[in-house]
Amino acid sequence: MNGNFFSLLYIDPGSGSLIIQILIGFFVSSALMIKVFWKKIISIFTKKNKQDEDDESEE
Amino acid sequence: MNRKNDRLTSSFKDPSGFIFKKDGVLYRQINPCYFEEYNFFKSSMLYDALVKKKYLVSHEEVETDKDKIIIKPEHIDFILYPYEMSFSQLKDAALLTLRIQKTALEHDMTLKDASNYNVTFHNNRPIFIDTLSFDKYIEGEPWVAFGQFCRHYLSTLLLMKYNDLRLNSLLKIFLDGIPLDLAVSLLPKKTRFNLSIYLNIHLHAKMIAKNQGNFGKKPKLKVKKVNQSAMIESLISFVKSLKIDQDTEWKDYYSIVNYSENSFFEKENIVKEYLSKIKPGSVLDLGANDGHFSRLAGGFSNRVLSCDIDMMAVEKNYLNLKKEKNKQIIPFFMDISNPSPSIGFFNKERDSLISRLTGIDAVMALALIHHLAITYNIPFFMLAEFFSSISRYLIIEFIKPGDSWADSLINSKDRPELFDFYNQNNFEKNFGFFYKILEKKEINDSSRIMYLMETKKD
Repeated sequence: MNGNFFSLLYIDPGSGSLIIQILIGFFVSSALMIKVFWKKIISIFTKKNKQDEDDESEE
Repeated sequence: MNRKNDRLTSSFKDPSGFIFKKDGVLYRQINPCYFEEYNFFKSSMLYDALVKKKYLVSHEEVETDKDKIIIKPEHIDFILYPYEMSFSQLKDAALLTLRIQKTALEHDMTLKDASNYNVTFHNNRPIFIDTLSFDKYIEGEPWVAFGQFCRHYLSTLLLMKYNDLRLNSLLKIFLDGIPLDLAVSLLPKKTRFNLSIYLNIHLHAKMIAKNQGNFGKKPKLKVKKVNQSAMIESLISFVKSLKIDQDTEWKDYYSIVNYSENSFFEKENIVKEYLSKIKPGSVLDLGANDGHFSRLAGGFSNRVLSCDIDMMAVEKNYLNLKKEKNKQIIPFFMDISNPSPSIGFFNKERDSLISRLTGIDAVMALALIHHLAITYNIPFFMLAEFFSSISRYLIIEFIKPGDSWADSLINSKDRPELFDFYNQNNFEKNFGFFYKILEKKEINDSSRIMYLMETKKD
């Protein structure tokens, strides 16, 4: 029984999938904040405030 | 309710409960360890919200005591597995899973299981069928099923898009989704330059590899709810943006026939006549191509299962049906020469495709049998045995030798003389072991004969 076999039995795939979410969550919500902020600036110059599309109605 | 011997093996992994059949009806038992979550699922109104949106299969409670709660879910005719779905079917199943997680978070719950076996198609819409997949959300807790979502859906969809449409067949081997390191090794290098793919697949795979020694010391991680919601939103828009290049894929894809338009109309009329005679409740259209004859069968029955070996045909069929808002027909992938086997632990976790094809009244096999008999060398006897095991009636088209297509298949063989068995007499003789021929009509100006057959009673 070699080391590879041992590590196959005892890998913990969960942690990596949890850690990456801190990164993705932070990244995506920052991008979203910038987007919202940018839209607000744009809306000052354009009076028309278009309502966001409802994602689910498309499908 | 005595359910000891009726327990189905597909739910053995879940300590929260299990499904079982009683008098042919499916029930789900909820164990006491899941009572708290189940009650919260109802009181938080998440169940109502999901059923209202048609995201989740509805159920009624039929028995409640201190040891168990038994629920009876709405009946679903046919359970479709992810390796039988086309690209857009799998994509819609992925979107459904994400929208359920989004709705769950709004009700302070979270999806603990994002397996693609939890989604099937009902009325040609994806629907979530595992009522026990919800946990209470704890503030700051990351999405526990995120890794599973990426393995089951994201990596599969990306491999189908960037490598080959048939790669969801890998899910037959990897029951818990395609491992991300494998996806990374197969995906083209250019996918690294797409931020969503890089984060969710490439970097994700690296993080998994890096942390695989962390056994026994699970890190306590906090992801703000607002950040998790943003992550789900971004996944929804990313999955929605995934499309296969239809222009190139469909460029050469069109229906071609080697007989006249009149003969085609005649064939349609014969099929209609046969269907109106037998009035089947449910039809299985084998080799349905883009579903032309499945739609025709839809006019005479409540439900049509429409399958083909060509993934692109299934995709085209699904997208057209979706556009037409047709709820009767369910398209799916099936290789008749090698239908999905039963897989998983004990080979009992996921049922074979054949065992899921139940309650079918008529099989249609149009322009199909020459492929099976000549290309795949399946004897007439075995084909008749197979068809007759599925349904009472059979509408089958026999293409006589001498037809340009049948001949080209025979002539492409190393020893065409071995295919002398392929003739009308042999066909009728072998099918005669299992069926009586009710109707037989030749299509004018063609080498095609249409049969309506009924299985012989033992």
